[in-house]
Amino acid sequence: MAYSTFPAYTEDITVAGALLADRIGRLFESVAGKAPLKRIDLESLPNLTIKVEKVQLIDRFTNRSLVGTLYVTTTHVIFIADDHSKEIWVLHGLIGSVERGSMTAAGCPLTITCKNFLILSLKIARDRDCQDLLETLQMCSRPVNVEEVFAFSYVRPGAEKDLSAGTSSEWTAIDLDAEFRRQGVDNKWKMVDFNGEYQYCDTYPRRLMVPSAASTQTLIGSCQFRSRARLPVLTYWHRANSAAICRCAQPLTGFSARCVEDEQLMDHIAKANAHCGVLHLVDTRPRVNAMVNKVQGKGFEDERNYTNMRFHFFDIDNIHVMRGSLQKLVDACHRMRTVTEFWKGVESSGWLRHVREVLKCAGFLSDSVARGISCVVHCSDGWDRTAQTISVAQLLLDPYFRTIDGFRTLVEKDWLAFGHKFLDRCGHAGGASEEASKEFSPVFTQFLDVVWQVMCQYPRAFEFHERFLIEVHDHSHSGQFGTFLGNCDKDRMDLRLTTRTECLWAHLDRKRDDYLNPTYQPGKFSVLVPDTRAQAIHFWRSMYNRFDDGIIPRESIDQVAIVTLEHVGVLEAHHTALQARIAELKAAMGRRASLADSGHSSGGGGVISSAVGDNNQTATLGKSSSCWDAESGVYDTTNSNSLLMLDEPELSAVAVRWRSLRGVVDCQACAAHFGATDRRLHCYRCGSIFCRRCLETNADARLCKNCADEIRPTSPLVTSTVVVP
Amino acid sequence: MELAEAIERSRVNDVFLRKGPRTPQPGSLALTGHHLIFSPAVDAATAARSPNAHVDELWLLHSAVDRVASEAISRDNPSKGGLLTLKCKNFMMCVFEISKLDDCEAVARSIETLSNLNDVRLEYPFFYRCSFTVLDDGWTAFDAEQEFARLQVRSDAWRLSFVNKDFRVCPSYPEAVIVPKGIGDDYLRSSASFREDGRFPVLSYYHRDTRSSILRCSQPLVGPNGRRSKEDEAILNSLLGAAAKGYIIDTRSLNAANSARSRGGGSEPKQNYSRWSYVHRPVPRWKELHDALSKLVEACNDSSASSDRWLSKLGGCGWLQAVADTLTCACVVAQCVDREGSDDSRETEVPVIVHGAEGTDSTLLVTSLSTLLLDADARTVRGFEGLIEREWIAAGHPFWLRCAHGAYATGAITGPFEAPTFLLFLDCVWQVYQQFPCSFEFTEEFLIFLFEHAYASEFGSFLGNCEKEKAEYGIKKSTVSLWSFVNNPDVLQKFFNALYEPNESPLWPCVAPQSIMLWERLFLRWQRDWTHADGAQATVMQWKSREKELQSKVLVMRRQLVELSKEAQLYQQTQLINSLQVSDH
Repeated sequence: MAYSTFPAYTEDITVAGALLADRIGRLFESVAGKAPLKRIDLESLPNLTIKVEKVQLIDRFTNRSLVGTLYVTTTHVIFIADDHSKEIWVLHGLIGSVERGSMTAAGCPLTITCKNFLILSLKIARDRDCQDLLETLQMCSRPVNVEEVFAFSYVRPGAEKDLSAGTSSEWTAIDLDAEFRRQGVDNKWKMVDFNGEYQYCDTYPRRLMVPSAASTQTLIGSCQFRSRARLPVLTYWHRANSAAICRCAQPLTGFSARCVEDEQLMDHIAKANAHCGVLHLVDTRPRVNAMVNKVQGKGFEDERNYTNMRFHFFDIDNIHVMRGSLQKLVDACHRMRTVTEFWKGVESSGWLRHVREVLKCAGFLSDSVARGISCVVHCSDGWDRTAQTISVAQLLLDPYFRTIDGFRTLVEKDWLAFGHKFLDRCGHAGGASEEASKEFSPVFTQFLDVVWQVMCQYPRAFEFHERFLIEVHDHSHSGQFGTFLGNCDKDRMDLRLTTRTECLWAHLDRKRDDYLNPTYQPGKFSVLVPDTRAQAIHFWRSMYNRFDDGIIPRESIDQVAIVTLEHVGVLEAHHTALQARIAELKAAMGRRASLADSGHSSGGGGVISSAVGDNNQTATLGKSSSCWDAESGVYDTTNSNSLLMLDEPELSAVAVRWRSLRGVVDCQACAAHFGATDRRLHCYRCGSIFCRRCLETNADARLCKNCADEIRPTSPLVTSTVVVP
Repeated sequence: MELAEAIERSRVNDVFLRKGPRTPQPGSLALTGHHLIFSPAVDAATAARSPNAHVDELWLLHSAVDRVASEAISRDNPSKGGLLTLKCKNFMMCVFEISKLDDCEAVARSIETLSNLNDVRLEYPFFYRCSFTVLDDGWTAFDAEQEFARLQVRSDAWRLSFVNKDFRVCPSYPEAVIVPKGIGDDYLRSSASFREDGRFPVLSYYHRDTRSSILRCSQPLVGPNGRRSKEDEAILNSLLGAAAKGYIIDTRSLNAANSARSRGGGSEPKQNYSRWSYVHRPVPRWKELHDALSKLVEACNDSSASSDRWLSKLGGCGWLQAVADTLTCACVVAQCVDREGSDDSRETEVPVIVHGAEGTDSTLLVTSLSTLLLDADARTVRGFEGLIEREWIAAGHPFWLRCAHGAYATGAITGPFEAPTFLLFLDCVWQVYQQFPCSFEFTEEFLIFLFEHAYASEFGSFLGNCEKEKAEYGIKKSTVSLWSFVNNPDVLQKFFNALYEPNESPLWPCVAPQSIMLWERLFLRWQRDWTHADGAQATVMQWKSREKELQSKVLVMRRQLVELSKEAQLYQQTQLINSLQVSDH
């Protein structure tokens, strides 16, 4: 198996791609325009396809231009300013569209619009170059076949061995069984395998949770009555009152058709909730859309045919409307010059209205469930609007989904497992055909936007920060990781992604502390009630305008907060260590610790520390105090002579003052430029600010290279014969 | 007029608070000369449990009420009682159900009269008895002489002139003003006669780094006949000194300036002021602002609005545009002062003159904001107080006229002179604050506090329209200054920003449309539940203070540790010597 999985296609270009990927992987960790390297010799890269010099990069706001060179490799588009003041790296997967204008005296305009909302306005001196670029980029950005996506050639630095062995240890499959156990689903529900080979529904996972009372016959009957056989199955069970959220696709009712099995299944779902016989059936589409579907033999359930069912429509528009809407929003936030024009643009895009509709529907679902009423949700195929609304509803209901791991579970379950068509919606493959462009839609982006709206309203209820959402968003489009490839579970199985690509979650996990929300208070919030008034829906500036440096505030409370949190953790540990050390010295000298004044002065601090400390992140962010105790314990037992060392490592182990974030625009070691929302990391010892690559991070410290070198030789190895009584 | 005459009912029972800053509850209303007091109904059991129940009373200053309305609960059946709606200047709404319709109407009439007093001396600050010891008298904390003494350390190009003694030259200026050193009082008098309302050019801000200065005045009375004043020209030219050129920033558009000329005003003509560059940077006139604010507040209160309606009102009401325009103009002025000088290696000073028409609204907006951007001191609590005292109160912004009403009404008695100019200033400050939350010593709470006190207050700082009126009415003698209250350490504590790190460099805020935000804390203050946002903020502040605490503790302990190791070393040596001695024997 190990051999069969690897190079099924060892064409030269792949090898070259892997080589480059490896190099790039070392140079920069992520996809989007980070620019860590200064003097890399790009021309020596093995797979450079085009190089164009004297390209002007135009700043939309100031109209100033920056001259540089544009490189196109098999994986990236890279712009490097001649004065090295700016470098932009864009993965092909992130390129949304490329357009050129007609030749002018100043050059030929070329605009690259990226899926992460970066827009590069370029002017190319020669018409011919411009045309070449246009054609190449259009080809690169839309591979026809999914196996041409970067993920299949990307090798995580240090993972070459894993991959050649055919195993990537980092993939951990989401286990739906475990998730339902976590939810505490009771015996009114059962896991069934009738779809074990995807034979009934190829866009659902193999194992499905259905009412225990439903027979396989009923399930198969219901399959046949539902669009794409997506029958109603359980996705969330509310422990507090055993109300459930089920999802499905629209029924094939046409004008009058009905299906006894389907009606039975609905009845079973309603009855699985012992406390309440009523079932809310939510169609997220506007009524008109649902009516139109009737003509095509689909449609919605007739309330009269189902017992105890209440039917609700919501006004969430379809994927085509959303595509146009986001397009207009992005136009508005990139073109409009005055406040009045900008808001007019935002209004006419309708994006905030759509976001609000999704939130309203999710709010309705969570409210119903919180009141003990089970809900069945569908839209047309049940993989776009349904995924959005039920996942937001779950986020509102269950605090677990507001943690990093929980959010992953949510995305894996309701988006990946239940067949949100990421491949089509994010345009990973499919070439530049018209069909492909019709399938493209920012449904997942919109979901993240809604999550962000809730985060704004409940800033303490989420373990993650908006940076996490943005990162997930970018990688859902980038094609660097296998996680979001394919349209459904079955696709991903067929592509053997777990053995041929890297897993996004593992990648994010390595930078987990980047994504923590400093104000998170675990356990404080249970069910969230969103404010769905128009005034409560905001424009997500740090998403759609994040590459416009000036627009993102230069001082951010969040940045300061996370740094403070980390520093407090470090200082807290240091404080404990010092205390222990002082006590130790005193004991060694035969004094009573009770004489110590410091021991008392910290008593008052302890109260505050425990008050603040219910936010348990101190331990995860800072050095855990236990390791310090251990360290001082070592001193105590092995040698007492170290007591005499005046250059105590403790004294310099931690910088009391950390460098202020103000005015720090790049890493102090490699001079890589920080993006407006990138996290700035401090070296614990010297307190200077670095990028992640320039810090050595281990379980209890982050050290810059200098500090790490300084510390190494002074490890306590001294032996002594003198024993202090 | 005696205030008591206006009170028809001093107490009304059987009242239900339907909407307001408290949860809906029954109670009673009482009216005094300056307050409306709502006391929650207390049943015997609660009264026994908490004898201090009166602390739950809701006291509302009459002057804080913007608009009063009284209507029958049911049109067909007046016996059902009336609804008393109070729309306040801080955008709060209170609705009371009163069981008798005539009671309701009587209370409404009284509040209407009492909230529209046209005699300053009847206002509450004259009756307010100071409940705290004044440690630092706000009336004397920011006087011109101290200000000048500080300036003199930095530059000797200026002098303090008392030409306006007894407010004879310019009624809206204070008695002492700072003017260029080489200019005599007679020149100032001539210039005053050439400028609207006598507002001759005076120093507003001196920027130490580039030795540039911002001056303000009112428009020159050029008029259709092209009047000129040699003295005025001399004053301006004296500012140039070594500088090649200066800037005159007009806060009106070119059209507005031209049409002002036909009415006797105008702008400095190029031929007479040849070394000055003239820049038009239109900032909304005060008359437009009131309308913009009313529309915005109405939109904010409309909780059933669709997204489209809300967004079209938010963008279309003109308030955010006004904020953007004002900030842009302030940035231009600040840039003239800071960048012009420093980019050039010559380091020449650049004088900037700012004026609009009267020089009491948009001019002050621009000069005070530019100062805030340039001067790190102005971003401290005390510096900000000084800025408001100097650039708004002493500079003659007609607070009494402008703040007579807020978003809900225009004054019938006081005349239509209302304009939220000062609120616009605070909003602009907030915009800068939200972009630089670590560069301000205070939080937005302070700004909201100032907003409320500008409109209705127990303190005298914002009473009257200028220093002259302050003197005439004896405001400084008979009332307490707002700053006396704020500078109490206990009060000050509430406004401090734990994230503050002094920032010496000028701030350059972004004025792109996406950066101009709605000040939700202010405009949606009564619509939204702020506990979560407050909680998050409090958490951050808590972390920050814990960090500071730990830092100082760690330093102390390190010192202690060093001393202890020295002692230990000594101790060990003696032990060693002892043991050697023992083995010697």
